[in-house]
Amino acid sequence: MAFMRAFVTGVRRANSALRLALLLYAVNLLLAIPIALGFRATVAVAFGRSTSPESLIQRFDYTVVQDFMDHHGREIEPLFRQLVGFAFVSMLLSTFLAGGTLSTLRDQNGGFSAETFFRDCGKYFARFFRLFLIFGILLILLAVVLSAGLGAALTQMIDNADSEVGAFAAFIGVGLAFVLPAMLLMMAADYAKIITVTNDARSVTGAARDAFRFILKNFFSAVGLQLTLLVLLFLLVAVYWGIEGFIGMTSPLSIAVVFLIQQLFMISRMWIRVTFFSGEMMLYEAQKPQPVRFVGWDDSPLISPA
Amino acid sequence: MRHSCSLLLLLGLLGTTPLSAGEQTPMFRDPLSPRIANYHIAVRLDPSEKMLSGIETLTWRNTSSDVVSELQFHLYLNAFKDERSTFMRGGGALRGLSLPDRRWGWITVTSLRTADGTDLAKQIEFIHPDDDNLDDQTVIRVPLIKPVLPKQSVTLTLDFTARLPRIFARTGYGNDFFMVGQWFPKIGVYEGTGQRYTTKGGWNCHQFHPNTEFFADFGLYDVDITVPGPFIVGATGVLQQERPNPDGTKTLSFHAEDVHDFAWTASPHYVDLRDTWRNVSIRVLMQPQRADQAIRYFQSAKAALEYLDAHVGPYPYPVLTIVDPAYGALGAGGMEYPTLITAAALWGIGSSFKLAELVTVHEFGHQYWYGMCASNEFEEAWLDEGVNQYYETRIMTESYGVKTSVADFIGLEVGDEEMTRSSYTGMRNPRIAPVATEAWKFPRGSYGILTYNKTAVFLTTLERMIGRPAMDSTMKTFFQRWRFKHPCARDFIAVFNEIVPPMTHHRFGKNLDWYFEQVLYGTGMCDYELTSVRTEDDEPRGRGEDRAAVDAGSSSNAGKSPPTREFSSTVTVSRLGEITLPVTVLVRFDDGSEVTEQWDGRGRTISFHYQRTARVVRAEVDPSRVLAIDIDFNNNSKIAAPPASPIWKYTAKVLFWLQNIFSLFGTIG
Repeated sequence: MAFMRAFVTGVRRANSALRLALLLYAVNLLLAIPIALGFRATVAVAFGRSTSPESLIQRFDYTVVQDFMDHHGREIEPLFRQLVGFAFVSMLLSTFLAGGTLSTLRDQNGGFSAETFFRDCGKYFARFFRLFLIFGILLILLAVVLSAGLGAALTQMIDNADSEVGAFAAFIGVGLAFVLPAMLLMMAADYAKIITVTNDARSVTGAARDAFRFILKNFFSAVGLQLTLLVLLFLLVAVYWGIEGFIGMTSPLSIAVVFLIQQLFMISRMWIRVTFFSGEMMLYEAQKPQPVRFVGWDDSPLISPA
Repeated sequence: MRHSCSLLLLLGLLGTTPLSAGEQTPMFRDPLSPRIANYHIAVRLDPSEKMLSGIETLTWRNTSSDVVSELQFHLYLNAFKDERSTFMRGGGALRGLSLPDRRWGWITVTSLRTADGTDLAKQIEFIHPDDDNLDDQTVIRVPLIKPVLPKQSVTLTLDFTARLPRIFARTGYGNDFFMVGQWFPKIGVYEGTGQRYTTKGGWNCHQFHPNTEFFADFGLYDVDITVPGPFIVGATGVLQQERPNPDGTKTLSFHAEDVHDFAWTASPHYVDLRDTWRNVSIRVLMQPQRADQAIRYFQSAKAALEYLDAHVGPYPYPVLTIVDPAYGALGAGGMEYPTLITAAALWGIGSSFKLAELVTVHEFGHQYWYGMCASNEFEEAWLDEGVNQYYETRIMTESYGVKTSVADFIGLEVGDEEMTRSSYTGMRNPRIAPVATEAWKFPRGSYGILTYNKTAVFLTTLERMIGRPAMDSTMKTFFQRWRFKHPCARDFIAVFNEIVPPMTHHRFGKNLDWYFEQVLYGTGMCDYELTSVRTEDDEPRGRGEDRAAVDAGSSSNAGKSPPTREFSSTVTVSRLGEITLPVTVLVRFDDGSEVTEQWDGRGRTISFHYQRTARVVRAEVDPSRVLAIDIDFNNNSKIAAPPASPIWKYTAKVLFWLQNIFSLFGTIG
């Protein structure tokens, strides 16, 4: 099956670009650290030399946490505002880094050069930013249209359901009605980037259009690849939860161990992100429309002399 | 029209033979209560119109020494008549739910006849004892042509029609599910001089407000309920007989003794399940999609029966019905009626979240306070809700764990007692009103937390101060002495003042008035803080002498121990709130020794000084968390070297979640 071949080749190519995954991880970590350290400082000052945090080592202590939130919750509110700002920055950074990521994957020699990487990030950023705006607007339009169309229907289905089972099914149904088109839009955004890099396409609207055409033409392969990659991600999450639950964070040593495991998880997650791009690129390269080869007659003015 | 309805109802019942008093199976050999208000009601439900047609025969006894020349009744369903009622003007919502789609409800008394046939319906007058809202029709007065003399009784027959509202505030319908509460004209309580706070005899009959619940006299109830054949009915009391009618309906006759209310439910979809606990028959009426959760209702009901029987007193009724409300009628859930409670469960919510257990335990507990003590829920709601909330936390803690009695889900552990406390301690303005406020006078949004949670927390604090044996002895005495007698706060406090001082060797004074003044009638907060711990190095002991001895070259200095270092430590504790309670302070030194100090908590601060060869490493005010009412436990302690691990643990978690969030947003980019 085309998507399985693309998946396997994509994994191989992502493995050959591990430094790329590490770079993405480093950016992700650097983005999260300021807020995390801000949280630490705020909480440390708020608790001061209280013994209350001791009870948080062995288990979640609702009383300690709730008393903290009741009396010091306002002090961590600024962190939430920072989170929103940083989330937006992470979107922009992701757009920026996608250019270098795809160009590294495109060049099959397996080498990774930071200089080339960032050069290509800059090269494609303008186009990718315009693609980000196009697909962002499409996503918002999707949400607005579905809310208008399905919102009232959902309310009525929930109100008229015989039991909460029916209401839950209605909610899931409407949720899928949003999630599936949204997933297709995000796939199209990826393929549009891939087309831009692979073909050095100058027109972003053209790239977007070609991306939609590609997905429609290779629907089952594209969706199959996407679902396979999602399964890989869910497996990773399940493995992490199992390990963290087993080890716990009840002593300085176990806290350090789980922290390392968390970071390994994040590295793996970056690797999966690279694998997404890699698999999609492989599928596109295998299935993309080939240019028609013109064969003319000897005296045709279109054939240039050797 | 009215007369034809009565005639139809009468004809509908003619095909049946109502039970006479002699054919009832009595519940109790001797009456448990004064049986002041005794009802015989025949009611027919029209499910398609959501209408009730009823005939009520009320025999009311005047147990006071006053001549009573009028009667007052509650017509609670008129609270849902339109937007102008006191209930709807007060916000029109209960527990966050409001009346959907303006599906109003109401009740009309179409005739009111005395035993000699005189119709007093035209004398009915709506009154407004609580506010000036002339549009509110939840209370009526009926002047009597012939007054009721002391120790005499009067019998009235009332015809009434009612329309049930769409359920949002306990009573009404949701599709073909019916929860019928506060549905009949219910006589108020006549309080003679000296009863509760009454200095002059009169009716205690309040209007229906969003925050208020109910107050009524005990009596006998014989109720014949006619419903369509497929409907399954549950009700207060014991089913006496069920008889099919020629028109396809059926009539069920229920009998209840020594109760002050009667509620019932009907639905064609119930799954009817039974169990027993000792001689109590437990019946659970489940929605089909949640039938597998019935066991949770049974287990928690039995836990509550067992606990309250052991710690408070016996549950005297032979029956308990638990109603699982339909989806779309969840506003009926979480309510108590004599021998019938409505619970709450949701499909797909397993026992990791103990919603079903918590509501069952809470609503059953009401059988003791609302049901048997029957205090005035309008005027002293805390005496039912708060006392019951306190017992709910005790039962849930014992049955399901201190930290897991509300939730135990992937490391998220929440206990009922701590959640009850945090609801109060987390109030934006806990000083907004005293607990002892009439229910309809609480500022919006504060009634529930102050009445339920703050009361439970101050009772928990009191229990920890005086000890569980003294608490249980007091509450058992209060229940045994005051059940079926409408106690008030004064009676409640009097029992504490009688029992606790001798049991605690007067450690808390000759009475506990000082405690209740602060927590029940006051608005202050309690917050003790371990403010500071200071340690200073002193001069080594004996240095001057040793030096002098060395300088003198005295051979007697040979073999003397080197000078020891001494430390001056000061531990300061502060009272940040207004509530003054005795506290314990525990101080620990680096040589392993400990000192326990007692403070009466009266000043604003107190400092404890120590001169020792050891430093203070740790100090804590109220280390055993006796003062559950303290709004912030996190400022109760200080440690010389706070451990860094807990904060790094949560920092690592926060970092991890931030990384995942940014990775997710990166996918969108």
